[in-house]
Amino acid sequence: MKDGIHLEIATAGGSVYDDMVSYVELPFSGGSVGVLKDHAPMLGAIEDGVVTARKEDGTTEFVAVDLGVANIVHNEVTLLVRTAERAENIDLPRAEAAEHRARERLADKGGDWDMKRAQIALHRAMARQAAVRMMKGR
Amino acid sequence: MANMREIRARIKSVKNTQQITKTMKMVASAKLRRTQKGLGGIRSFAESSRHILGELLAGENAGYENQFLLPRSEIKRVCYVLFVGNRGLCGVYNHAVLRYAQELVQAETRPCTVVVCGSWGKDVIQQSGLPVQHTFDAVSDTPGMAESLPVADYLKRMYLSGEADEIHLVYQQFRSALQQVPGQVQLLPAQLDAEEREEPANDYIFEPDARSVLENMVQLYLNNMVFSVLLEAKVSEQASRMAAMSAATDATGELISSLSLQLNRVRQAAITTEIAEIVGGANALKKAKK
Repeated sequence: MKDGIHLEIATAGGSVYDDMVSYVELPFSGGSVGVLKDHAPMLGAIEDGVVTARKEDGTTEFVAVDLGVANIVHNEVTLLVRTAERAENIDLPRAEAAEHRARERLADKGGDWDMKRAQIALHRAMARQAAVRMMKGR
Repeated sequence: MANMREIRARIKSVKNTQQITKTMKMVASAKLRRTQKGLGGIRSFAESSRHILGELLAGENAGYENQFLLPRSEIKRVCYVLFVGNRGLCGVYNHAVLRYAQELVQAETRPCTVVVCGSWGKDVIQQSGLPVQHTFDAVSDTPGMAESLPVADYLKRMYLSGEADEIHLVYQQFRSALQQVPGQVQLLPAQLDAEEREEPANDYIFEPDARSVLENMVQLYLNNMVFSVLLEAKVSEQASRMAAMSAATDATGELISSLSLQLNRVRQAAITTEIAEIVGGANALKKAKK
């Protein structure tokens, strides 16, 4: 096995990412945390955001995730998340439409929308767009 | 005795039916395989989550309170979630699980509501007298995670808002391709399935704290449970449909062979009559000449 960190991102629908990386940045609910080799064991609560994985050869990959848990132990980083999507698979217009819809609902205070749900939807849409932007921004 | 044309038409229509049941059987078996593959993915996810929960609930971290875990002191309302198929033609699958749910609701002394998942038999369910509160009817035959999340979110909201103090999932449990049994599991309050452990194996740092990690973990656990029950219900449905369609194909085969036998008999009888008439006619002519 190559030297580095084994990163796996799993949803109940199957594994979305499974590869060796040298550095990974995780969107914890308290803020982003970078993980290098030989990190101390850590259990963290993942929030809507983007996982950045840098490989040995310098290429970087992005995965948009939402609510979940990360388990870091012995250079194994396992993420269990509700949903995960690789940046290259994200449908940008759809994410933009979702953001627009969520913003409308949040602005429309008189409507009987569930504000908390709209807020969550907004965060998700923004995280997905961020993943695409980060991928293209290189 | 029926005439030949009628029997031929009958055989033709039965053959058409046989073709349909054969195709439906093949479609069901393809869907069964696809859904079973989904169950495989879930198993490895459940394994990892069991492991993390074991770490989380071990040792000093045990006893964290979570709104989804604590049983409520007073159970005022109970909710049953009924998983049925999207259509019929699958043997007793739908009826058996509906009857099971009816028995549960009748035996229930506390007020209860029912949430239905699947588009089969809206009128039958309505007539059955179950207090249906909501129906999720847009679930496909080979559901993905995205289709079970709205169901899971709906049930969590019901629980948090106090509309239900206990939620049970009622579905056909898959024993084997030939046997499916109606059964139920309790979704909420959650009875976590964690690895038993005295001490955590690693000296973990929690980010931001153990309580939020547990909260997220429980959310994942609930989503996962709804998804796996949905998949299992679908696997049972397809297995049940396969069995029903294979029985139907066999039955049409038997019907065709008995109809062909009848057709041959009628045809033979017609030929015999014709010969007898010709012979009779010829004899009569001979007699007349003499």
